[in-house]
Amino acid sequence: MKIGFLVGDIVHISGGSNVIIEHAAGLRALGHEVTLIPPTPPEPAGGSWHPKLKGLSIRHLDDCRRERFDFLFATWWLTWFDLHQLEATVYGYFNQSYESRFHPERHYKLQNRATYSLPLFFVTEAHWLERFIAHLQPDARVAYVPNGLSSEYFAGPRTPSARKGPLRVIVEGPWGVPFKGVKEAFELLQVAAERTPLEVGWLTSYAGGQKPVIGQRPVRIWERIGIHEVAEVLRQHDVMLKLSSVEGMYGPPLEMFSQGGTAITTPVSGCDEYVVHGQNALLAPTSDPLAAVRYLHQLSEHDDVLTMLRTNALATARQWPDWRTATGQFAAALEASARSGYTNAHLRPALASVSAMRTHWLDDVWRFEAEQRSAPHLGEGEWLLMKRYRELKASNTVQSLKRFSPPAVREVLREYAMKVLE
Amino acid sequence: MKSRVPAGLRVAFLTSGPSRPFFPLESAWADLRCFPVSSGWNLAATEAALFRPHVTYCVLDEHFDAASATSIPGLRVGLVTRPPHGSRGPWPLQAWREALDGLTWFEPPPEGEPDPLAVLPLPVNRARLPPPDFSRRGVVVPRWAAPSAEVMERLGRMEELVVLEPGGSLDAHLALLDTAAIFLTAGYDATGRLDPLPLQALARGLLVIATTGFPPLWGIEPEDDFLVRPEAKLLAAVDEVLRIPDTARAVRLRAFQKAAEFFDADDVFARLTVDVLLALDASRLVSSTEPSRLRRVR
Repeated sequence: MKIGFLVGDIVHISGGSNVIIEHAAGLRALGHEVTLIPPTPPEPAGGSWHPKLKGLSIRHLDDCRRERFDFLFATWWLTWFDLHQLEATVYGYFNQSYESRFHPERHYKLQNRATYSLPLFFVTEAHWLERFIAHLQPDARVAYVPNGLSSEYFAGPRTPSARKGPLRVIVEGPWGVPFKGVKEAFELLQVAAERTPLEVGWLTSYAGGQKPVIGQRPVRIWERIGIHEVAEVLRQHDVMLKLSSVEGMYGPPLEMFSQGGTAITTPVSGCDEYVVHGQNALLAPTSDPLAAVRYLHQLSEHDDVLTMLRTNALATARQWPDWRTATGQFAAALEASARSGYTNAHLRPALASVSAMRTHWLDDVWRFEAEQRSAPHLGEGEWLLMKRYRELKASNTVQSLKRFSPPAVREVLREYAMKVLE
Repeated sequence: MKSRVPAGLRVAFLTSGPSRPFFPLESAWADLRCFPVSSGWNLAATEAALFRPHVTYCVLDEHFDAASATSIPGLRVGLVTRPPHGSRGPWPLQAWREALDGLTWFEPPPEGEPDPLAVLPLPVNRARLPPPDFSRRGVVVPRWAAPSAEVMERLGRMEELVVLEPGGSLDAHLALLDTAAIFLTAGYDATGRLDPLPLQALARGLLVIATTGFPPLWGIEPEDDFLVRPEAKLLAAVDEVLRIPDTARAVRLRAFQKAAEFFDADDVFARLTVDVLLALDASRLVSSTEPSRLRRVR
């Protein structure tokens, strides 16, 4: 089958891109013709972070206009608005998160909600999203396909490694993305370090130049490393601290599990796919800001609890499907759909209409903003001066003076005032 | 949110208020039993002691009898679910702690109070709550957090309006929530901090429109889980929902899901029970290898 994935930024490290690349590579290995389709020509130097990216066909949207896809998937929500540009038997949405939550701006949220307005062929990796979509769009086909855990990059030990010394904690996530909770993680670690000896590392796709220090010890940073190097970093730690407030179904704690570590994380959407509090990890609710601090102390004090969590975490990871199995489920869903003769090609005009409406609306917004920018800018102080001037001008005294002054005198005064102001 | 609680655990709740909307009455993770203290803490404690609970949650009020509580075997945890003051003044928490192994607070406690075992807002018993019914209409407004008379009058002309009166029973108020689509509240405090209804409305998948946000630590996301509008824009928000009902569907669904993710009583107390064991009896947590079994209360 000919399968297209409309993608956003595929050449830079992200968990979402990793999932797309793994499925695309897996579907290709199963004999399907797979194309990744970015909206702009791909960067030739990109792809080094994920070895499988190099083997994939990446073609610009414009280069695919003459083709017909059996399945064409939107991925990152903005790519939904490009679906109509290409011809397909089935229009799909590989939905990894409710991305409205990424944006504080209301207009983005409303646009994002529009991407659930049509009964596309949805594939999603989290049960909460599956239920969300099924309730919002009862006529849509929704397939649940769990993310895989790479057996190539995350082949783990049989038992958790022996440990001694301070609790080794790894923070995971980029700097500057508020809902990833990285700043909060370092703040809590600073509090925890007051009574719990800690050794802290940071695995990140973007450190933003930050160099955190916890308990007077600099945090060791691994920034923008290749996916094949991640397991080695995780193995050097006992606990991952991951305090995101928005996720679809996150992978890093599971990757940590695979290397014999446990995690302290929030009960964020999607965590229930594999995190069990008190079995393989600890869940620190957002309403309890110091829960993570208590857990770090308790894990540091109770080596038996830490060992139990690490052992169970490893068992969880070993039972989790690898990418071959996960992509097998993806392919099975597509093949079943194709066998049944299902098509939603008739939705293309509707996709085009929603996209056109959004484009017109955005044009108006940008035009309005451009006009606002080109208009003279008045600050608060200037507005106040203007208000006072208008009040003075409207006052009885000034109005009386105006009434009794000859026009020639008024003209001279006005010219004088303008000269002074200029 | 899933938790692994050691098998065969008996857990007791001692509470004076209506327990059904806030506490799990049956569960797969433990043998739960609720002992109402309406006839006095002493009697409830005596009955609870016969149950031989491993963990007892005492929902504290000003009548809490610490001496009686010590007769209950196992670990005893006091739940502070609202500001700890009554008609007799501040609750003697320091003295009560002698009878309790730990306390939870409904928000981070003020400076000077001992560290809590956990911070735990009043949860929602979601058992048997169905997903939102999009065919429903109507706005529910609590009188104690109503906007101005002018707004209420115009609201009544826009849509069927139900006003919850103070003094009505919680059950009656919840039954009215179950008939509506929108819950509107115009209080000054953080929404839901001292009033359980906004969270109950959220868990029922109503569109909550409020003049203030929920407490920031609760993780309830404005615009995605509920709407925050100044009083001057409440009518416009309701009008938008009535004209474009699809706009509110995703918000109502996420409200329903968020309550499940963070505030589901069954999950919250399973997690708390793990925390209690982790802090006070870690060996029980480690030694248990069997999963918990389904046990039903009477």
